[in-house]
Amino acid sequence: MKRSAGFLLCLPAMALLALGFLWPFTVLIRMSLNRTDDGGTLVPDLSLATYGKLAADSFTWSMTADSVRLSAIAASLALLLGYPMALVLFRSRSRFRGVLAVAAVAPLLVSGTARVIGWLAILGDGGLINGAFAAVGLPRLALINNWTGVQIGLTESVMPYAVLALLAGFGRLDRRLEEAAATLGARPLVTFWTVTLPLTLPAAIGAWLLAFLLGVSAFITPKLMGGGRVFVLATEIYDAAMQTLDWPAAAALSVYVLALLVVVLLAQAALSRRLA
Amino acid sequence: MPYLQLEHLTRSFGNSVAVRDLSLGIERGGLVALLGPSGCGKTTTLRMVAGLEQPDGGRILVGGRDVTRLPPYRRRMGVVFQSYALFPHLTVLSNVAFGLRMQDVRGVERRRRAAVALEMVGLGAHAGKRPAQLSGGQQQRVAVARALAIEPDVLLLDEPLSALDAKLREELRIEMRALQRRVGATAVFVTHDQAEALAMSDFVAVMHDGVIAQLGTPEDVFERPATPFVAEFVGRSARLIGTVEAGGVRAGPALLRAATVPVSGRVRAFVRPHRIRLLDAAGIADNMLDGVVTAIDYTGEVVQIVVETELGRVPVDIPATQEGWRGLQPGARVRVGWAAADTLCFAA
Repeated sequence: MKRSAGFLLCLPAMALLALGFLWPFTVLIRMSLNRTDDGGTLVPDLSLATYGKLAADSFTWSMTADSVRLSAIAASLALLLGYPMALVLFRSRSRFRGVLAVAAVAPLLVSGTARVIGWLAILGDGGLINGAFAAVGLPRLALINNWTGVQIGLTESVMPYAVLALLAGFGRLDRRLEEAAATLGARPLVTFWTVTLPLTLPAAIGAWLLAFLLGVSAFITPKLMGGGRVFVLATEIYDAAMQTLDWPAAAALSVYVLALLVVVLLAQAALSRRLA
Repeated sequence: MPYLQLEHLTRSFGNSVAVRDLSLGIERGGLVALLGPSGCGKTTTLRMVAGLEQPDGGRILVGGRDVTRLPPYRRRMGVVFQSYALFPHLTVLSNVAFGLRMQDVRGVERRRRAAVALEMVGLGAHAGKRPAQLSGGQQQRVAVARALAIEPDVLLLDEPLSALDAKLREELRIEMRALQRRVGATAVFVTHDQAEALAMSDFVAVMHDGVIAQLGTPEDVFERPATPFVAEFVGRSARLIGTVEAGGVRAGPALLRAATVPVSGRVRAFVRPHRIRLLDAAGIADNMLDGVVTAIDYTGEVVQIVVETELGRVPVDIPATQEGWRGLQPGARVRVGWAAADTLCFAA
């Protein structure tokens, strides 16, 4: 195919990107350069005043740390739980492989809101777990409307993506390599550490990163499972935009989150280059 | 007693039997080729010997010791895979040293022995590279070095050459055979390429449908095939069909003479192309057929001529150094002939 033809085929997607991302993003940046006065009124401007206000607010930094910690733990747990599942799925030659693969990503077929409501029924005060605990005389656990609840919900919601990313990245893993290791005297656990894990490490890093990015931008889970007590960057942006109607603040915060994610992506790219 | 002994090995996958009651013994230092078409069970047999596949029944003995239930990592067998199976994340030297690392051979000694193995296959200069930076032939040499570095009692080669091009295949085949002799490993070599099997091994086991159709020296298998399958699979032939009658085999208008024929009934007869000659006007042979030349293929060493006769297509191989084929054109009428001893007959 000629280069010009390839370029033409990319045009629709590029047009969509320009319309759906670049244009709103431009508007977003423009908005973040406005500011609000003390009464909360929008003042058209071309300054970094809003950014300055955010940077000076210690709440921005503590919230950033909370968001990053929450997402990093969710991504790590999702990877820890999803890795064995992805490995089994990848290797399985069973006729139930298709069923298992669908089951692994089935949560994606349900809307986020519905899933959160499901969690409420499980983790709530009168829910499945606390009901069972009460039945055997154990004390009640606070599993919802707090950080623990959000952590559980967020982990579950990013895990299917982690599994999918792992499955897609396992291409380099060839069963023959593990067999070769075995014939050379490596026990199964040694084979895992010396062959399987190094070969799947790039996929694991990619999966972790995807889960982390989705975690940072997740909004529904922290909003609904945090019970108004959990403040993360995504919920703060929503509140600023929809409740306090401080649009410049919401825009500046969005740009800040985007910059944060770009930094993480660049770090991952550098790490992958060193591993390759 | 053979060093490597397979006794009544059987393995099924679902409803299909891959290997059926297979027994085979290999003397210490010997090389046996398992030759057969895909799906004949040769790779499954090799994988059972390596411990990568569990037999449903039967035993595998190495030096009199039963290893059937041992996992692969306790068998000390060097395996070379068709796909090389080199570890892409390790250097060439680390690949070769992998087995030694598993045996807890320490730093300097490990590197020295890996370097020796790598030197054996002529790749000492590439120790620091990654497998992906090497050509296919070089990668397979590394795989051979890796298998030999653990000083295995048994060397298992699973179609090690089939991913390489023809010239390299021949080169590496000779090298691998020399290495195997030098280290004195008892070897099993799986291949679907009959030329490779004949050239490399002490014995060839021709496999068909999970059983050994014939076990013999390369010459046995080629010149004295035990079954029609072996005759057809190993080498090319003129294939003739007839009925036993006094004095030979009646095939159409011709009476074919053979050294031995079944007592009665339908017969399938095979004649190797290199046993068939083009007869001149005064020439005479036990068996003679008239026909028309349909193809003349010059391959360098031999000239392969196809003659269409009333009994069917007869391939004739003539050494290129003989003059008989010069001036021959497709469409020429010729007479082909061969000795009675060269007609191989099987009851159909």
